[in-house]
Amino acid sequence: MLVWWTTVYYELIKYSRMRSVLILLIGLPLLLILLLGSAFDTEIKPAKVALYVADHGEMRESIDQLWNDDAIKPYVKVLDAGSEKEVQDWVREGIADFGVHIPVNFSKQLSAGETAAWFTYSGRYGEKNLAAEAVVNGYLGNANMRMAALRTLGPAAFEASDDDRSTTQATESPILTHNLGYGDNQGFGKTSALQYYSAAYLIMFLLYGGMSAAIALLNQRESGTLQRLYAVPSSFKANVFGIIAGAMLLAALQAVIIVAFTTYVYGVDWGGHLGWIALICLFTIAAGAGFAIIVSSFVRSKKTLQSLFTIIVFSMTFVSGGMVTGIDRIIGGVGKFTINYWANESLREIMSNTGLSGVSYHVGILGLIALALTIIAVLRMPKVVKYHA
Amino acid sequence: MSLVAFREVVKKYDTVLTVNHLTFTIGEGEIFGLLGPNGAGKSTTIHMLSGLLDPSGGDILVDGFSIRKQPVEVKKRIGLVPQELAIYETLTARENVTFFAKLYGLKGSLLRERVDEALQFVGLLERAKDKPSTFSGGMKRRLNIACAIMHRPKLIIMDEPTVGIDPQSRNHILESVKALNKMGSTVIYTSHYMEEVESICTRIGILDQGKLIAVGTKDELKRQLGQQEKLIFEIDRHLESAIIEMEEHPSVQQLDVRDQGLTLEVSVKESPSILQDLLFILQKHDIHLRTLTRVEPNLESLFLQMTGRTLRDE
Repeated sequence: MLVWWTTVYYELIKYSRMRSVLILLIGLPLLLILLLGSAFDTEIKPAKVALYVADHGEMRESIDQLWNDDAIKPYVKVLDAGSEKEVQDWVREGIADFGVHIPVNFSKQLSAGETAAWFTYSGRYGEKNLAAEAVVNGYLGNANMRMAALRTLGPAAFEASDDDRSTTQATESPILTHNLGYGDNQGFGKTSALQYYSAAYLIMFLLYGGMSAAIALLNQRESGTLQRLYAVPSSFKANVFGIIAGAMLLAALQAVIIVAFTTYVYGVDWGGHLGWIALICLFTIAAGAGFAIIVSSFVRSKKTLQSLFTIIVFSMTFVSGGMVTGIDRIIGGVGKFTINYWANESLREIMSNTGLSGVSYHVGILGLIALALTIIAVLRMPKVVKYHA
Repeated sequence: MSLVAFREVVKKYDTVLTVNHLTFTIGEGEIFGLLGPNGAGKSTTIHMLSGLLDPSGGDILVDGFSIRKQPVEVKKRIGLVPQELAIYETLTARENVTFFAKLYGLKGSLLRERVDEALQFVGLLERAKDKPSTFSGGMKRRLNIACAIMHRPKLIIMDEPTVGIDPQSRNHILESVKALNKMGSTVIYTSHYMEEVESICTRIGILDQGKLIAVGTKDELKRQLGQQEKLIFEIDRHLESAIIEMEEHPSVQQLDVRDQGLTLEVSVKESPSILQDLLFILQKHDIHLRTLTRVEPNLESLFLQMTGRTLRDE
C-alpha cells in the first residue's frame, strides 16, 4: 500500500507540473462548453430597459403597475433614468438594451381624447428590442382601445417622429407579453444547450483523462524508468497500478473542476444526485483508461497511441451526438456502441430530472462496459509494461 | 568468493536463442566489463539479472539468492543504472532520488541522509532542487547513477552509462565507478568504449551471439588468444634482402611492406630479444631507422580477432 501510495503521490506531483496537460484537460473542455453552449442557447435574457417617466398625471399609477408587474420581469429589467437624455445615453453606451421615455403630457393627452405616444429607443440587439417593444405595445394598445371605446371615434392617427427617435403608438397591433417564450431548443431534448454540451465534453475529456494512464505507462517504458521500477524490490504491480491510479485521480479532479466550474460560473444545472454523477465519471474514467491500455498494447509508441486514441474518442463523441445534435437521425443507432452514448444519456437523464430508473439503466450499461474493458486491459497489461513481452 | 553466478542461463524468443547457456561467475569487489556488439545478448543478460526478464532456462544467483526463487532478495542487493536516462524530467533531482529511495524501503532521517549522500557522490547536491530539464547530458547521466546507489547496493549494474556525454562528465563517471568499487560495491559495466573497459575493469567477459566466448583479465585474454604485438619501422631505403632476413626470424609472424618499401609492419610473437634482433638486421644492411612505433594489442583488436566484427558493428 505504501509503494502504491508513493507512486500515486509522485505521479500527481508530475502532473501538477505539466501545465500544458492541465490546460488541455481542464481549460479546453470549459472553453468548448462555453462556446458551443452559448452559441446554441436560445433562451432570451431579460432586456435592460432604461425608463424615464415624466408624467405625473392620472395614468401614472397604471404606468408604475406595468413596469413593476411580476409578469414582465422575465423579459425586461427596469433601470430608472433621471431624464430623457440619460435614457438616450444609456442606450447609446450599452448600459441599457432599450430606452423608454414617457412624456409629461401623456395622461393629459389621453384625458383629452388625443393620440398619446411614448418615445422608445432601440438598442443593439434585435431580440432585446423585441421583448421590450412587446411590453410597451401591449400596454399602449390596451390603453388606446379603452380610449377609442370611450370616444367612439375612428382609427387613431399615426404620428411620425424625429429622425433619431421612433414613436410607438396606440394603433399598432398589440403584442402580448405571454407570446414571448423559449424557442425551439434545436435537438437538445429536455436539457439546455449548455447542459447538453457540458455533459458531452465532460465525458469526452474524461476519456482523454483515462488515456493519460496509458500514456504515462508508455512514457515510462520509453524513458526506461519502468525498467528501473522492475529492478526495485517493491511490488512492480503496485507501481504500475500507482501510475494508473495517479492518472485516474487527475481525471477525477478534472471532473470535479468541470462540474463545479460549469455550475457556479456558467450556471449549468447538473440536476443534483452528485453520487450518481460521481459514479458515471468513475465508470467513464475506468472505461477510458481500460480502453487506452488495450489500444496501447497493440502499439509501440506513445505518439501512435495518442493519435489513434484521439481519433477513436473524437469519433465516439461525434457518433454519440456530442458534437452535432440529432446525428442519430442520420447514422441510426451506431452511437449506442460508444462509451459516450451511455455516459451522456445517464448525465442528461439526471439533468432533466426524469427519475432515477432511466439513470440506473444507463449507468448499469456503462458500468458493464467499464468492467469489461478493465478486465481486458488487465489481461493485456503485460504487453504494455514489458518491452520484451 | 563469487557474488554473481550465471548457471546455464538461456533466453529464447520463439525459436531464437538470444542467450545461449551462459555460465560464469563474478567475484565480490570486481569491476566486471561485459563486452559485445549489438545483438550479442548483453542487454538481455542484464535484464535477466535485474529481474526485467525471466530466464527461459538456468538460474542466476546473487549473493546466494536465486533470481527465480528469491527475486526480492536479489533486487535488494542490486542497483541498476539503465542505458536510458531513467529519470523523471518533471521531478527535481532530489525528488527523483527520494522516489526511488522510498521504493527501496528507506524512510525518515536515513532516507534524507542517503539521498544527500547519493547526490553528493555524483556532484549534484548543489543542484538538488533543480529539474533534470535544466541539466546537461552528463549531469543527467550522473543523476541516473544517483538513483541506483542511494541504498548502497552490493552489486551495481551499469549499462552503457557514458553514452552521449562530454569527456569531462565521462571522466567523472569513470572515477565514480572506481570510487563505488573502493567503497565495496561490485560493478558490472557494459560499454561500447573499449578504452573505458580497459581502464577500469578488473575482468572482462566477451559475449557474441548469446555466448560467452572469452572471460578473464585483459592480460589473460591476450595470452589466451596469443595476441600479437606489432612493430612499425619507418626506414630510409628499401632493401629486399633485409626484408627476407627479417621474415625468416622465428618470432616474426607476418611482415607487411607499405609506402614503396619505406614502412615495415611486423607482427611478432612475444620474445625478449625480437626488437634487438630486427634492429641488428637493419643495421647490418646499412638501413637507417627514421621512426619506430610499438603497437600493443588492445581489446578492440582482440575483439575483432575473436568475433570478426568491431564493437560498433550493427
